[in-house]
Amino acid sequence: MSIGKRFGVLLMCCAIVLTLFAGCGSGDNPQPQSSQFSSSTQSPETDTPAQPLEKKGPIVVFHPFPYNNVEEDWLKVQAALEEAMADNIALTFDFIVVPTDGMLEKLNVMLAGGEQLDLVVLNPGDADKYMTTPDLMMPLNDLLNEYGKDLLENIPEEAWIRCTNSKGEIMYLPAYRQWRWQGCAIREDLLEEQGLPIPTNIAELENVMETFKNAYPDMIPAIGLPWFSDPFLQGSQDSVASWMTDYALDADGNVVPSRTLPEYKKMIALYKKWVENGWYDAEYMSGNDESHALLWNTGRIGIWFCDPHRALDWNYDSFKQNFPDGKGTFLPIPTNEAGVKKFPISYGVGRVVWIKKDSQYGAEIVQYFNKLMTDPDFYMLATNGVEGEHWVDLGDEWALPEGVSSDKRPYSNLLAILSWEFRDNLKPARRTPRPEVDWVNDALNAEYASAELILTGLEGFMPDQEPVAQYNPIDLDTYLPQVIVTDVSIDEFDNVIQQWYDTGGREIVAEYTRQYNEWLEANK
Amino acid sequence: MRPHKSFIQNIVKYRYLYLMVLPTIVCLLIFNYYPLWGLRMAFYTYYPTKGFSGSPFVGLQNFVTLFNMADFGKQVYNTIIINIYKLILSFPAPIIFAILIAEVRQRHFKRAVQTISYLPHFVSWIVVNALLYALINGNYGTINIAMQSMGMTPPKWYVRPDLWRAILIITEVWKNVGFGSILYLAAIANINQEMYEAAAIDGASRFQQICRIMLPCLVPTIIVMLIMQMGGMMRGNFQQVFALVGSNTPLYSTVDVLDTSIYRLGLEKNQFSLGTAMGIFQSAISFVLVMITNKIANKVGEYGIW
Amino acid sequence: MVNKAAAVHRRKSKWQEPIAASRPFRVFNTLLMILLTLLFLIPFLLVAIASFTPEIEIAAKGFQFFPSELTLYNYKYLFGASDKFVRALFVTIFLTLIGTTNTLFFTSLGAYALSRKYLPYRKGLTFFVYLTMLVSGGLIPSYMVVRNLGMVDTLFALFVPGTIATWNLIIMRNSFMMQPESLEESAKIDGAGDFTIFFRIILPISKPIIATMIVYLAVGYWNEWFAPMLYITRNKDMATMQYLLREIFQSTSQSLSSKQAMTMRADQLPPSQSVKMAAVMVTVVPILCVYPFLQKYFVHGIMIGAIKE
Repeated sequence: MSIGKRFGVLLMCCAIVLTLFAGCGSGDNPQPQSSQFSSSTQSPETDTPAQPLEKKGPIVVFHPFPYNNVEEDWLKVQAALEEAMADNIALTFDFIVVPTDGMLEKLNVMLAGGEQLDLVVLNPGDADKYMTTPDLMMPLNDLLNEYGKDLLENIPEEAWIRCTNSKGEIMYLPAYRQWRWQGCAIREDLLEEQGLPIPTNIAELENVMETFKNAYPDMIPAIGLPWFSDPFLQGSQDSVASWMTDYALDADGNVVPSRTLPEYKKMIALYKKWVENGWYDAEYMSGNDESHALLWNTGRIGIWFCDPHRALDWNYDSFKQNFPDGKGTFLPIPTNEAGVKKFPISYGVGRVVWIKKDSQYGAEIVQYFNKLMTDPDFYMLATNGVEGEHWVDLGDEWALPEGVSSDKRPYSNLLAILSWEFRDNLKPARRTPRPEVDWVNDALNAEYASAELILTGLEGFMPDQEPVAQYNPIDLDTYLPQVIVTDVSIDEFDNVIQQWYDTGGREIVAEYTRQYNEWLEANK
Repeated sequence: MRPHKSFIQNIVKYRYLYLMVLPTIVCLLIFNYYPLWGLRMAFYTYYPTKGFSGSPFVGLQNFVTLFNMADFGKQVYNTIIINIYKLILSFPAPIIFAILIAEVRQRHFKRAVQTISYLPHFVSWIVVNALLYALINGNYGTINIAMQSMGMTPPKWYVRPDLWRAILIITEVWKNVGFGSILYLAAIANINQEMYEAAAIDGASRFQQICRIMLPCLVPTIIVMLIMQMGGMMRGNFQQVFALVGSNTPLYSTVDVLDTSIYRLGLEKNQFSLGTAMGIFQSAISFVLVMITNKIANKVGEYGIW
Repeated sequence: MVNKAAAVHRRKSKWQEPIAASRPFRVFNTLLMILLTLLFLIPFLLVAIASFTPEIEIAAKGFQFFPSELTLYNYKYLFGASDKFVRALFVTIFLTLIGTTNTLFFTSLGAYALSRKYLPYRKGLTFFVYLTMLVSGGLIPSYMVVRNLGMVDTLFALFVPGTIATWNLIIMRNSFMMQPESLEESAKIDGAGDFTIFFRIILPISKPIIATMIVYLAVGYWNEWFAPMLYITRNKDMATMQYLLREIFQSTSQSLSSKQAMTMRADQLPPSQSVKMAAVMVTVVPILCVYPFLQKYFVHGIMIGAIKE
């Protein structure tokens, strides 16, 4: 048979198979006809005096955090939730679960294509990118006042600040979990070996670094990425400025990027001194969490600016493999000259949802979250799944069923979308006690709660960058680290800042300051 | 000379050939040319939810924003210079590799080498980054240790921007030389073997055979690939730079390319309009370069693409 | 009659050794090849071994050749992570087959037509084709076209937009152009039409380039995850394997925006590096298994017979 004929036959076969595939594909399409499902399970014998509410929805939820959720399982939970809500909220769902990789592209094409979306789940940083799009998000103040009172009361103030824009409109509903992730871990066993106490201020810390450098030549005394180290250290320098703080007020009342403030020069000088003395690894920007974790686990770091949970909890076993006698702990926040600990405000918001402005179900959605807040069984169902199948009730606690490991749960958290740690703590999971790591989280929380808050004065104000979108000054992220790791003098910092102003920064500052003054006026 | 016929007469005369090319035309019209209408996004501040009617028209403002980026000039320079280096070093590599492989006698060894040479292509840049880190990081990098044992002081690779263009090129060669050589091997296989025999009879050495027969036969393929490479002069290898350099900002002065900087800009600002404007800019430059190269190729010997 | 002409040119002799290069060169070449093989192989071996290493080892010791423990856990994690894995595998295989065939068929037809030097408007058409490589409308316009054709959430969206692969077209056109004109002429004298010439004469001779295109296209379809991510919203039955793997690795690959704290619970940490290595293996190994069957087409040359240029 000639190639042409072979091609043709192959193509025809594929076409036939394809039609079959496509046919059964759309047949298998798991469009959850949940409204019919749950109404069919509503037993006609239940004689409720009121009519069962008409099903609302389905509301379409964009959820880019699949974890290990299995569709079959979440549909079960979904059905159970819908049934539980049937009497008062009567909401039905349509979850669009997509991989986290490429989630913004996916969201964008869905928005551009005019697909119906009601609820979008995102990290707060990603959500902020959509904040300025006009007519995209639904302001939630009125809905919260009417249907979400319990949400307002129970979620702490700082979380709501994170969700509010400059006009005072609450745009997101937040999850809440005070998770202390900007800190510093240290090899306590090496400290003890050198007979040193745990350092509580910069001078003592530097002493430790010098000692480590001399005693352990194969080890880097200190390393860390700036988004961990800056917030941890800034209190000791009485600095409002840090890598993690976007804007602050300067001496003249202008709104400027925090790192252009003169006081940030102190931080740069500190790092520079450390690099020059060989205490801080000059290649610190090249790593990521995993590469630094490997360094820690192989004993090549003495002091690690990181999420202490990573050093002391998640990597505990790997570390112990190499150093059975090793011991790590986290450092207390270094005090400033007056002996006071300070730490920037931490919002505790790791995930948010926003409601699309043209959604018809805003009220129901807020009611749904409010019910999660008030109804413990409902919350448990949404967060952990169907009792007996996905979790086992132990009275005050719960546990995973036999044979299910915590990293392969077929259902976790998907329909709850948001979680709040004070609700999780009402009925915590029973974990096999691991005293060697269980102490970390509570101890961290206690330590950081004891610190004074560093406030910029701009809390609640989010500058609108539309008017100055055409100005793109030099990127401080690029230039400031170079002052630290190269041989230039510390005064290069001033040149960098000047350059920033000259390449468009001046206009930006003027505009933001103007906006800020307006905001001040409006909020008197 | 072809007598001038009318349009209809031409179509009818060569109707089967036009039939063959019809799916191409239709498909490209639908999926490539029609979406070009969306390029006008670059002249708006485009909001996906509002569509074009709801988005404000801003004319050339996006381009102004682009060109006013503080380091725009440097990023353009980096993009071009890295691409030039790649042209000189990374472009010939698959060709040379293909020729060398073709010269291997033992069949099984040749097959093994070929298959193994494709492996790097499938390793994503993120994994390459992890491997590279294991090689050159300042603490336990294998290459560093080897250098130390030979008495040399290894540089601190990750804070030496001057070394990184070379690193980008070397890693790209490693990753692509095997897979890219498939094409040239196919072209080599297409060469009429008799020509080698004839040359050998005339007393030519193998090397001369390669130079006088193989290379000239490869020239059309090489030139086509070259023209297409020129079309990418203004585009950086986003995946590579993003994975290998990432947020290691001290390196940006030499290796930050347009694609990565636009990506970062788009994270904060309206990425659609800016990204489209950037795309237009890159396409325009590519277009000019390709036209020039194609003309030159045609002058040299009718090797141009069109 | 046409067949005989073709048969003359398709006479495949056994691989005839061309005159060998000099000895020292061959030795040098062999050594070089060995060196390069090691360079290519070693990093990949590290990845392969890492895929069988427990995560705790990788976090503790990094890439190593001889981990103290080997495990299948990573693979079990991958295959067990989603009940849809088997289905996704079939979808991917199917997509690769049909996508490659579809693209190859139409692209090679177009390439052949454009390779005929006597075709009027040839230059214009080639430019028309090539221009698409230089400009692109962008993500959203392309998505809108697919959507307006009603292909969203179907398998068609994954291969129909790619029916014409421009780069491949240009290369194939080039290759067809290099075939001796006398072949076509003698076939025409025998009364063959264009389609016949293409399928019976040019195509069989062009096996190396076709095989090359098959490799490139097939690998492309096999690795495809972006198109499913864009076009598949609800119909998860159409997910490809790569897409599924992305779903498992929910941590974003970007580290640039580390400013956002990922306040995840410890039991929801993204899967470890070792699982990612296993994913690499799962992607690559099938390709390596299939590839040798195609290899023979462009290692061995084809003897073209009597007709001299």
